[in-house]
Amino acid sequence: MIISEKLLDGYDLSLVIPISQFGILLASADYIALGDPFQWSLLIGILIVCLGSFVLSISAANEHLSIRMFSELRHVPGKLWALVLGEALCFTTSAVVSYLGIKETAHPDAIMNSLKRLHLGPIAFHSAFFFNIGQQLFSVIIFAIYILSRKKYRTLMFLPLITSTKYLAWAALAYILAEYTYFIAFTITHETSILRALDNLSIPHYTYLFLLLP
Amino acid sequence: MDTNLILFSIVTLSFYNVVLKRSPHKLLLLFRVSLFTYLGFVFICLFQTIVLQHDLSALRELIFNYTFEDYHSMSRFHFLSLSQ
Repeated sequence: MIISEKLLDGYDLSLVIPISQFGILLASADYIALGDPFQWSLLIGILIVCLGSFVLSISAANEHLSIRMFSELRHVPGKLWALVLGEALCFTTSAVVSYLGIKETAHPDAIMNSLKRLHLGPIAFHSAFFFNIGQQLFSVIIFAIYILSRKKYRTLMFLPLITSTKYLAWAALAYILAEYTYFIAFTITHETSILRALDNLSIPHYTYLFLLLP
Repeated sequence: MDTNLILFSIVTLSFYNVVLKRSPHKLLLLFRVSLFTYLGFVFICLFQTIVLQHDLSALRELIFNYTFEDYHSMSRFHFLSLSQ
């Protein structure tokens, strides 16, 4: 929460978002460490996916897709790199927890049963969509506690939604659509390895996008 | 089909990033988006099971699967689905 706040308030998002895409590389390294089958071709594939996400994100702030937009990276301050690295580590932890939670092996089963006995709250394993519903509720609760603990946001939190209805409606709709289609894509794919699924689902379109670069 | 869904997901996520960038209170917007996403997912889940699959036990499963009961001991609550 603290890292997110500093990134959102202190820096231009058109720089933060593209750099943050590389957090998926750390997550991929963790998937391999946790036993996902490793191949160099898969790692190169993930690198292409990251570059593709980078190009798409940075192009949102520019009028044209161009090699020149990469030059902005030279002026990125060290503190921003540190914050983005922190954000990437948090993302990696979250991705690894999700990865362990949706695998149907004895380990997640044991964790799930232990958590259910502790009556800690909404947890459903084995399905990406249902796991995310539980994860989302925890996220909302932690978010609410953080915002209520900050005087700066406390008063704003209870302002009527009318002041930012336009942004909220578009942002919520876009985010729900993005997340839902992502889960559906992973549900219908036949790949059992997460790295292979990421590769197969993403690379064809990114290679087309690279053709647009002058 | 699955690659098209991923492409659609990335495009909508990019659109979301643009909206977030233009918002005056970004953290507050993130919180509200999280809240509405959670509610949206619960709605999708209930819509899929109750309306599309005509399975009236969706609410019961949401409560028991997600909270207080062991995933494998659902059969103890079989009488609830029989009564519907």
